[in-house]
Amino acid sequence: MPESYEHITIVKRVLAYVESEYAAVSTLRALTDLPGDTLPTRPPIIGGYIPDVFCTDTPATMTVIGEAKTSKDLQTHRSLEQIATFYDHLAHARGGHLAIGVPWPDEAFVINFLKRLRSKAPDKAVRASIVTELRVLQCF
Amino acid sequence: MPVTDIELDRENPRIRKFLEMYGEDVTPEQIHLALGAGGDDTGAGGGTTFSKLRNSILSNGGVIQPVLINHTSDGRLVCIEGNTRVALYQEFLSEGIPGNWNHIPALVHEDLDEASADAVRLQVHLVGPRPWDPYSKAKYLHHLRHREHMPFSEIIDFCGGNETDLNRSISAYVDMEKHYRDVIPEDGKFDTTRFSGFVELQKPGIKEAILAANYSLTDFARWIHQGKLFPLNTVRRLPSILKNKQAREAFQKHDAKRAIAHLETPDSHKALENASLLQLCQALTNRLLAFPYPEAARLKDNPGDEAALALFEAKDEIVRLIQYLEEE
Repeated sequence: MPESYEHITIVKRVLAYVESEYAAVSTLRALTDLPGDTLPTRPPIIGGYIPDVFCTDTPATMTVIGEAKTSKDLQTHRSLEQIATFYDHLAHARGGHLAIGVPWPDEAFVINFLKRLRSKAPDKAVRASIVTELRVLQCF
Repeated sequence: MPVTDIELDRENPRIRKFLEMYGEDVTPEQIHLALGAGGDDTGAGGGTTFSKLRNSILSNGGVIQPVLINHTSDGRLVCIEGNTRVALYQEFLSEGIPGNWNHIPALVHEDLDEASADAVRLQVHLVGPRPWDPYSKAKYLHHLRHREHMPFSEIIDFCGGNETDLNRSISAYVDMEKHYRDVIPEDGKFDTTRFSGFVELQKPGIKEAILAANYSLTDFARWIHQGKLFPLNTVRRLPSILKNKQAREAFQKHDAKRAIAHLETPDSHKALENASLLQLCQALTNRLLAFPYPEAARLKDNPGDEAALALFEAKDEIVRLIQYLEEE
């Protein structure tokens, strides 16, 4: 499906945040699925979904999944199932970090959704960040 | 700026359309007609139209936002944005309508070239100001109605829309503030994007169904926060869900999506699902044209009736599709 300009902008914002957050990791490898990407490798399929951004290092001590959602995309079951799948995957990965990029008016919606995910499995520790055009919120 | 010094902009998209149809030799009265009858005055979408703007300016005694003028090198003052407002001032002045219509607030650009004027028109007519989100709009309407005690007729003059929609929006705001804010846990956030769920709550039969099933509006707010009513248009299915034992149990345990799967889908629905949109529309139109009055009266008295709820849901979806089809 062709990506909208709005979606691509959010993916780039998430990627910029992840690259800045892990700038000290010299072996960081960031994979994206953006139009014009020349890398032969795309992010892996995780639970049936391809994340917009996937980062890891060598040897693997961390896994970062970045997912961008427009306001419209966010209001679908598919999107919430996708985020829940990535969250669950990261709960079993070493140094799991989920970065969700959304427009700023949707920040509260994502906070509440992530809190619900966490309350269902409080023993699963996943670092979660919400990236908007205004700020990066460390959710937990 | 004196309104009599201002020339209306013949490059304005609505005026241009009129000129292309009727030729360049048009009078100011015809330009007024082009602005007033540009085809956008009959829409029900609540946008700013000629007559709504007219009432708003009359109610307010003027405009707040300045019009944009291009002071050309040959000394002309051409309005490049706000032609309708200028036309209305000129009309009020010529008709002797009480008020100060001699001068209009204006921002004057000195000798804009055509490309720069085009950029202004594009920004104003194609991009436009960012609309308020529905929650913020409702909050402001509530302020006007309950703090400023402004009558509905006056709010409609200022903002457009109709009384039913305004009432629904204000009531949704009140319900959200009263019930939703309290159910947000300490580590949660008040999510204004959930507002349309509370607008759905105002539709006929929804509140009645919740209360009849021994739930409260606080329960409803909790369901919204818990994501049980997601997407928010599932609020419309609450009466059916709460009436059906299995659906209700699935709703309590899971969410509306799982509950809806338990609602009966008669075999006749399967045949209808294979019908084309054209066939369905024609059949529905024929049915409604021959709809007996006693049955309509019965539905009116029972807004929670499944047929009535289905009708409201169909209306919402049809309006949504038509609005998309009519988008330019």
